[in-house]
Amino acid sequence: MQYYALPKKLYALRCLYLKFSKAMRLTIFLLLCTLMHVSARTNAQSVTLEKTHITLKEALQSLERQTGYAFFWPDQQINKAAAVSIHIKNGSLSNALNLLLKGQPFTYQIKDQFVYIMPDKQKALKTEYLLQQRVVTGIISDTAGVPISGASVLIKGTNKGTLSDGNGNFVIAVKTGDIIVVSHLGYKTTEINIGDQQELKVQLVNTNNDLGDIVIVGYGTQRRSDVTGAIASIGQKDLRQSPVANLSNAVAGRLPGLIAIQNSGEPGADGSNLYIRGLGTTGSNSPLVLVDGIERDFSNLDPNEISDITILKDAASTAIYGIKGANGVILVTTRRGKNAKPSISVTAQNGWQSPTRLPKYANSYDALHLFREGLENDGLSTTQYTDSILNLYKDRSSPAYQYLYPSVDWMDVMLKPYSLMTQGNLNVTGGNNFAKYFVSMSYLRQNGLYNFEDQIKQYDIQAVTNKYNFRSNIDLQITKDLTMELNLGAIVRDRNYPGTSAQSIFDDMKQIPSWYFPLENPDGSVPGRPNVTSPYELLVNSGYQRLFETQLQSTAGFKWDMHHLLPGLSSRVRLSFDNLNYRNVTRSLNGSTYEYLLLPGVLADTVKDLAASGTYETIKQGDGTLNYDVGANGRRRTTLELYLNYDRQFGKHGVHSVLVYNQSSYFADVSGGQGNAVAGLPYKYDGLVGRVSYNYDDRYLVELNAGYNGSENFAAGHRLGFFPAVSAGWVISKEKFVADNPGLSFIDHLKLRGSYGVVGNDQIGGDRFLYLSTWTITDGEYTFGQNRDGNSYNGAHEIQTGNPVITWEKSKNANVGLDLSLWKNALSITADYFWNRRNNILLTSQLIPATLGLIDIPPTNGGIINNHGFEISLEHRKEFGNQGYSVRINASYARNKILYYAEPDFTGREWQAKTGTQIWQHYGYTSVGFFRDAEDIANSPDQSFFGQVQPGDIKYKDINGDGVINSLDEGYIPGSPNPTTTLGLSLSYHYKGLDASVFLQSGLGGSLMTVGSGIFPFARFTGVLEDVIDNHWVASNPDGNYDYPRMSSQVNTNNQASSTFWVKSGNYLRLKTFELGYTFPKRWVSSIGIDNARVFVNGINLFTWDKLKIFDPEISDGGTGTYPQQKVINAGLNFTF
Amino acid sequence: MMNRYKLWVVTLFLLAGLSMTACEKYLDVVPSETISSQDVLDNIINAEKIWAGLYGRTVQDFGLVETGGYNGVLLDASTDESMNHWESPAELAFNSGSWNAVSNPLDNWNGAYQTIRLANIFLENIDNSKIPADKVSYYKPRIPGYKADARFLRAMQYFELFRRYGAVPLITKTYNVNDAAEVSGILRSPVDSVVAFITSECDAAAADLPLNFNNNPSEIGRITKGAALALKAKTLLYAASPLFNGNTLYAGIKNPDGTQLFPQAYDKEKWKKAADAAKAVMDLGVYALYSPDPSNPVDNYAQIFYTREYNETILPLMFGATRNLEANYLPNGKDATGQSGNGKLSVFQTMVDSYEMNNGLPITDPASGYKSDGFWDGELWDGTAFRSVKDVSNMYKNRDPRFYATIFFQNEYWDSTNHIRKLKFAYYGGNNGASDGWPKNGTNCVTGYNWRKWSDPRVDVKHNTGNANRNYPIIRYAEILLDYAEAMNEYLDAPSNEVYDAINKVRARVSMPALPITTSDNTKDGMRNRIHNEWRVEFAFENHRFWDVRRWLIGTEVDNGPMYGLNARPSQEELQATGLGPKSEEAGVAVFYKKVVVQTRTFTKKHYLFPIPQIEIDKNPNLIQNYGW
Repeated sequence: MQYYALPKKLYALRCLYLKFSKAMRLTIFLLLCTLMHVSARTNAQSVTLEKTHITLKEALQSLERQTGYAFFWPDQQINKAAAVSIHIKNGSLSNALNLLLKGQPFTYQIKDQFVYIMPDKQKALKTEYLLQQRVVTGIISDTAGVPISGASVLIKGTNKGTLSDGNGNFVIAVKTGDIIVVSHLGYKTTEINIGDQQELKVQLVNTNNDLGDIVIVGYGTQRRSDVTGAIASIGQKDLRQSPVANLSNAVAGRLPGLIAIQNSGEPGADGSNLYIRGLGTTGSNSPLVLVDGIERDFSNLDPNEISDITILKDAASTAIYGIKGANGVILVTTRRGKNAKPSISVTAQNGWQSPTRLPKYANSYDALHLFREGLENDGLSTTQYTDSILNLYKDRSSPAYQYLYPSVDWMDVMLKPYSLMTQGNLNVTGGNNFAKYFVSMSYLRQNGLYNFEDQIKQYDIQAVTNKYNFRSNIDLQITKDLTMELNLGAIVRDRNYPGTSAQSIFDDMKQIPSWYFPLENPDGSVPGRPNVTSPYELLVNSGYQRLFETQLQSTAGFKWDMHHLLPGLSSRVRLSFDNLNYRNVTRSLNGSTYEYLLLPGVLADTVKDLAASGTYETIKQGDGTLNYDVGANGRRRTTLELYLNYDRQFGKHGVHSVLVYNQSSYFADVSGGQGNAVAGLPYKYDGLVGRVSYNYDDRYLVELNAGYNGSENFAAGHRLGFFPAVSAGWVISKEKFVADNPGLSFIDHLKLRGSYGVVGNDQIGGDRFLYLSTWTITDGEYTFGQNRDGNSYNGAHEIQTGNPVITWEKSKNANVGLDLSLWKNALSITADYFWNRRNNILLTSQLIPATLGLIDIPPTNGGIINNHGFEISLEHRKEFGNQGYSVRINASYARNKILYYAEPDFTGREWQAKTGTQIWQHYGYTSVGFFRDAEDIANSPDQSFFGQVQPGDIKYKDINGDGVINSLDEGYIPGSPNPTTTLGLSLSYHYKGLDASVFLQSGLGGSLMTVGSGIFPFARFTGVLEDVIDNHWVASNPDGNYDYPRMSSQVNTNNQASSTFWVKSGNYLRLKTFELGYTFPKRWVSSIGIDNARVFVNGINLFTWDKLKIFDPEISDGGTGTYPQQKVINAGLNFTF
Repeated sequence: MMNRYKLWVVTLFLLAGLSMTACEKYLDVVPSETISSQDVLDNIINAEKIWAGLYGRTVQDFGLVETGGYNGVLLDASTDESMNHWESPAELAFNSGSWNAVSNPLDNWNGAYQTIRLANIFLENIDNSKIPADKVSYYKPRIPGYKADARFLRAMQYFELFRRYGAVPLITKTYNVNDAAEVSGILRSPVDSVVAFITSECDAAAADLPLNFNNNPSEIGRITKGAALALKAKTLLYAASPLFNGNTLYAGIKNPDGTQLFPQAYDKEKWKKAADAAKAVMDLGVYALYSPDPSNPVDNYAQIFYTREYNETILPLMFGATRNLEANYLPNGKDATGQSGNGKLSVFQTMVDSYEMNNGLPITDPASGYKSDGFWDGELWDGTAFRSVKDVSNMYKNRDPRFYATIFFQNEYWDSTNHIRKLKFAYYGGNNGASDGWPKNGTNCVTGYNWRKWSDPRVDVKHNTGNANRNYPIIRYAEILLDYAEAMNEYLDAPSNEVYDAINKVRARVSMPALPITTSDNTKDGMRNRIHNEWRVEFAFENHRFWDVRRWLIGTEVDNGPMYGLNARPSQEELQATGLGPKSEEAGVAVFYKKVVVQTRTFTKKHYLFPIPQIEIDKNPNLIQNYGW
């Protein structure tokens, strides 16, 4: 192989330059060509060479310069070659080469844009070899008949083979009796005995966990069969089944060990919170997310750009990320080109979104009945709420009633029943020996649910996201040993929102009582009332916001195969630059509101003409102008990675290793001002990380991973940490006693895995440099002077007292796992059990006495948390004839316990200690039902801490037994918000061109503290849920089973305290996604030049079964949610050319 | 062959090698942007900011909720003066007696020691701060004053700890994070030591402080000699008071080493010390009661509460011009002319009853001429002018002028320049309840009275115009006079002229007759009642009563059990019974003048002092908890 080496010295560099620039030109050219569906092949190159007696090398160099092609020759032999004379004018390259090499012991080959000059005997051998063969042709497709390009066709037992082209066709020379092995990533490898067949038709069965698969791991890839850590991945096909605008919502339930919780469905702000293997720390539990190896957000990527998403769960797979690995790692890989003819894929789809669930609030008539009940209970006058008055809220016989006695269902009038989401994607993938490319562009428009968008002509108040994704991943084979990658991604987001945040609008919709405002005034103006704001006003009278955001993700890298130096050695350099800029324009409206009142003396029931009978009182006088406010800033990250890889097989001994030096620097979008100077400093990381894995006979696997890295946030000497992990695997199915045992032949693969290691977490809640003591300056702290107009002084305060020894959290993680596949992959099982113990948890110590006088007690490494659990996934697939089905089940469970927390003993109040509780466990009183009657109150512990209690109020348990209910009886109560168990069930079936799949997802074991003005009736200017009407305590049936205490007309401190009463189960089961697709028969579409055409309908969040009922079960804890999660039904088309 | 790759290999490894050695260095993001202790302490310009920070942290701790005082707790709604009918959890906790060592809305343990730390840092470092050569002449003479201020402000923090917790740990030097164990070992210092520390610090500060800043008007509002001596007097008065002077309730509160934390023997001389300290302030000769309108005693008193004034005010909280107080305290509801204040505080009938008649007799005195029934027409001061009033209850006739300046009642007027409103607190069910007592929306006055003190008639909350230019007087001269009167009365066997003179100065401003008037005024006990009532009336709604009922040990009598107001929230049956129609204004008025229970309070012996925060005892079991907690 040494023949095709680079020429010497400077010439080599010049050559490189030429080829490089040529590569760029070619890339552009290729892109243009592919878009026009033209195959990029250039043969005709005219050359002119008129020389007498020059060296062969000089002649070749001249041709190289003229053609721009890359020439390779065996240097020493060419130097020895005889001098040549040549006369050719505007001849072809092949003519010139034929002339030059005539009589020389060389032959040549032009392949793509490379010219290889080879010694003649090579050619002779090759010819001889070919003569013994016969050539067979074949076509490779998937079960749906879609051709598969780039599939590997290998003659078994040799390394001879080829790849299928863009139409799935291949040609291979075989000898009778050869067996060919056809394999492709994502498909089951198939073996075919050639026999005397001349044309082969190979159908590959789709699979997602074929053992021959390559999986993505930290800083590299591995064969799935070599993996000893705990990882899970999901492919593009599954991702594309979820019609979501935010990619983080497509992974829920799909990956065992990953918990996804989506709190909001607001366009452009609807991402899920992701947790790997539950919670491990009281601080940030966010996993590290890497897209193509670079730390970036993936939620705004388009599913069509993604090749797969992998999560790394145990120490073996995360230790290589060292200080950042303890919360788990999510690796997202974008698609890359392959050696095939260009394939153009176009997808267009349109979705109808509607809220999964909206809380229902009582109409005025019902609500005011309840309010009156509350007034009666509170011993207050009810004269304003007589039956005849309440009836007016239902009566619409006079036109004035709807304005004076309104009854508005805010959820109903403020929101449209559905909104549209439109997506389109065009991507092209292909390549040849020189360049492989994947280019993609996507557009997404997600509309919001707000009503009244047409009311305002001048600007848009709808919540809308327009997202444009561009991606271009190019791989260039610069020389035989040197490849280059250039990955460019851009995400442009233009978002529009009303001037008020979704949280405020939805809070207002939940809180403003139905009887408070009419929707609009008779003259169409915006109704107002002192001190309160109607949701309608918030929406139409607050202006709008436009948020522009541009994200650039770029990576350039070189990979150099250094086998010349040492077989198996290669190196790699990657430099990445990411940038995000935004410009947020807020145009808040200075609007007016009015209250419609009848003129004095006019009675509502006699009103005929609203305008003549009424008057408008100005509540808020605005000038109707839009303010203009701009917030613009940016973030950037640069990353450098240097790799050294060594992969080699010595007989039965396989060694794979990688050593990486990396460094990154990140600037956050911090605005100006002295106070932000520290936050504006770059976040820096660097480290030396690596992995060595060894396998013997693919049976015994041992792997060592380690990260030695650190961040600038800690004191020198406490910055860099070493995080090692060791893991091992035993492939039992390769042992003779299994492999050679016919009784066990149904076992395809059985592997036991185990790992143990240490990983770190350095997320300290955004604060910087906690080892330093810092002061803050307060402007205008105190002002003197006769009229407070004299000397004014700024104040200085110590804000942070440094903890010089603060360092990262350290997690000791152990994992044992099992991979099993049976009956030719018909059933495969993966199971893992893990046990993690996190030390050095970063928290605020509660042991430092206040008399020390610290304003901010510095965080200390003062906690220990244990987290353990398991994951299991099962898959069964069956193909028969032209149909097939698959069932996939996964379950995961994780439970944590705080073993130590830097806090006092809480002697006598043990229930207030964090030690022994779960992370984020609820805190409050323990409810023991309702007070039955006055006698019950008298005989119960004194609850006057909350004010006077009444029958029907919530009764609390006197935990410390002192006869009084007060904050000493508050403590940790069972339950915490995140589910402990997640389940996923995926079913799919296909018959000929028809395919269907259903995915159910469930989260169990979480509970929510449902408190707040969205749920408490009449908590100062608030309405009441419909659910309360027949479901609250009443004196007439004091022993009933109610979800709400007795009615009170105002804030009721007793009933609104956080307690077990308001803790509701968050368990749910969702029909997460379904998909129905039809792929048109090839013969129909090929006539119009289409390779593949598919129509599909899919949906997400279609049904939810849960116990919360009123709100979506994924709302955030301690509230009643915001913009609701979306249910989407989506239909689309996909064409491949 | 190998040398072909040399360049590559060497380059790669050189690059890698360089990076390796740079590993630690790469992370050296020296945060010069952070302001370190060194930066602050090294430079006089920054050190001066600590001094200002002490003012911000200490002085701004006082005053009303609207001025940022007292952790946002309305002290005066946690006493027998008034209640907050919005029932914030903080006041509710005090009034129901449900506050405890875990949740105490007025707990200042953390905040006080944070300020003390700041003061300690300042005092330990100020002498070493570098002064730029050209600034020496400016700073050198100022530094003694800065230090005196810091010592005063630290002493004030200790005073606040003292009146809340009694005996507290004395921390007079700076500790670091790693000293946590050492600090945890510091015990509570006995009350007498705490008092001695505060008074000696006040003395030391007074020595370096000027009498006033009249020659440097742009620094008016800074601490003066008088302020330091006044704090000393106040501390000694508290120390002499029954709560701290021989209070056997606290006999069992001892440090683990056996040290008695509360003095168990009554010491009469403590009153003398307090009187002497007050006298020292009087003898400075720089203070006098503010008296801008002597012919109109109501206005003469009312104005100090919306004026920036430095003759009576010994220690002001410099406070920006706002109309927050007016917006909160002016009565709620919607009269014929439009929207008004929030009427946040409902005043109890017992507070109203504590005002003497303008003949100097308490209303309980048969000779006083007080009538609780019937109505009266006449003239009353509406804040800006005298205005004819009609149908005003006889209860409000001929009372101490301070009553009219302090409390809003039915059928009087308030004139805020372009918005004159008649105040109505009686229930009115008609027209959707458009009276002050029953506003259509929101909450309403419970007792039939609202606060009037602090409101500036130039502020119009209806049109949102005008701002009140006021300081909050943390200590004003009237307090020193009453300190002296109280201490002397307690010290002597029978009141002397010194006692009468001091209290009569306060009464004279509002044209109240001089004491003694009745025979009991000649006795120590009779005079004590007069003085206690004078405190209550003169300092109504000025955060005094909360502490006074504690130091006099009368909380269990006055702040326990039912609290009364007028019948502003009548029942439907009552209104029906009038025969006037339940929605008529007349019906509401007919049932209005009736004393009803509006709240029931709980005050037990343990509530006299605050509990040490439970979490601090959990951290340091050597901190002994106060009685009853």
